Amino acid sequence: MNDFAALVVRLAIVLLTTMIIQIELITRTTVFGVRGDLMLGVAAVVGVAVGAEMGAVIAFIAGLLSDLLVTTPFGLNALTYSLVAYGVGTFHRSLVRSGTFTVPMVTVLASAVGAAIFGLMLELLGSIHVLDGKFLRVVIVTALINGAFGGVLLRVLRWATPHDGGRMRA
Amino acid sequence: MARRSSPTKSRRTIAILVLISVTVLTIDARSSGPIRKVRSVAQEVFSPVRTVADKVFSPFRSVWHGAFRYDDVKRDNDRLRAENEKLKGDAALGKAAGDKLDALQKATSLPYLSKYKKVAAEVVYGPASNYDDTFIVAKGSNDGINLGDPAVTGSGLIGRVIEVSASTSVVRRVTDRHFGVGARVVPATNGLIVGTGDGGVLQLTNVLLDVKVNVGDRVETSGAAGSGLPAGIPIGVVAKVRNKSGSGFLEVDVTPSAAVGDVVFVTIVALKATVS
Repeated sequence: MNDFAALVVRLAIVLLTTMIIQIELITRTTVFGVRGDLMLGVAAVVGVAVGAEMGAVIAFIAGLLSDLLVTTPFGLNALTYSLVAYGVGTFHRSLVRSGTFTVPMVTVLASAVGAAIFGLMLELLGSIHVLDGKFLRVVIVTALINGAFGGVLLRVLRWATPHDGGRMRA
Repeated sequence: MARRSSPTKSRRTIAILVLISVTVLTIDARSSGPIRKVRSVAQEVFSPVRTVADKVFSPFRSVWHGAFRYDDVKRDNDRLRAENEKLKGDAALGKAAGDKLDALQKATSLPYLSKYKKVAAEVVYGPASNYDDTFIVAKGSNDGINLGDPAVTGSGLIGRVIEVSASTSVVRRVTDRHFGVGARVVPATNGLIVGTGDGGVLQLTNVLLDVKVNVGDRVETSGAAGSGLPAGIPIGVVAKVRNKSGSGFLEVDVTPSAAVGDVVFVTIVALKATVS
């Protein structure tokens, strides 16, 4: 199997498994009335794992998969996730060094920004009025849940997107 | 270590992705037809995966719920204990309990929309995001369900079908902020019921100030032309009436008559398939 095929297969496994976990576990549990968004967590972490450009593409695909299963405007998750991954990738590239808590903190911040962007765009599109008390709860709880999974997601995404100094390994 | 690429190339890539997203969003906003079809196909394709995943994740879910939903588990446990005690008592009553069960079944059968075909459907998935108030049932177009069909229980309206695939349907709850249906306060005051996003409250709008509406009045679908559903489906009871200053309309809060958030089974009324 060539590098690209291996990358596609591994990414498909990771994204589909994350989506199933999202549907089977995460969305069935609410914390303070809020459901987590693990796919947004993937978008936040993939920017760290593979950089801004490739991260944005992978996050965009993750967003499209999420869009298939919800009733919010189609493409909104794809747009939000790709912006988040691009932002994280760009930010992470500018870091001189990263410590133990860098990934969880970046995941929390990026997820909070992503959840906020999603809500604001829903409001802008006139889809629904979301800027109420629940909006802030959604932003905070989503960020904290994703922060808890940040480390695991990074390991999984690094397995799925192996590379060495810019050249992918088989 | 992250792969490096030139900032210009990265910017071009994100610009293309944003452009694609905006295009798809525009297509969805202008006409939901193609997108609805894509989502319907995805539901159909993903349905067997979900069935398998449901079985695989079942033990994990128990642990997960035990860990993260202790309050719910304890409440369920208490409820089941109480039900068990009650069932023990009913069994002792013998025939009297059987008669009671018959009466219960009659009470839960739908006392409205008798001329339409009804499809009993199990709720298999709840909302998939924080801004969705929908659920998925394990019945679809193969069972005669169409877009717009109402989902009801014996107590009243639960929601409406917004997406259909061959074997599953997505139902938007009456409490969803996107939900709207023509309604009337019995006997004759017309208005529009809309969801508020708050699971416990609906709002009846477009009711003129000079109309008399009382707390406790029944609200049901109006069946008026363009209202979306046939007349006579119970929606709820009036909980609060406010005079909305300056608008010329009353603001009426309605409590749903059915337990909209807790449904396990619903009946989908197939409006296009009448019973001969």
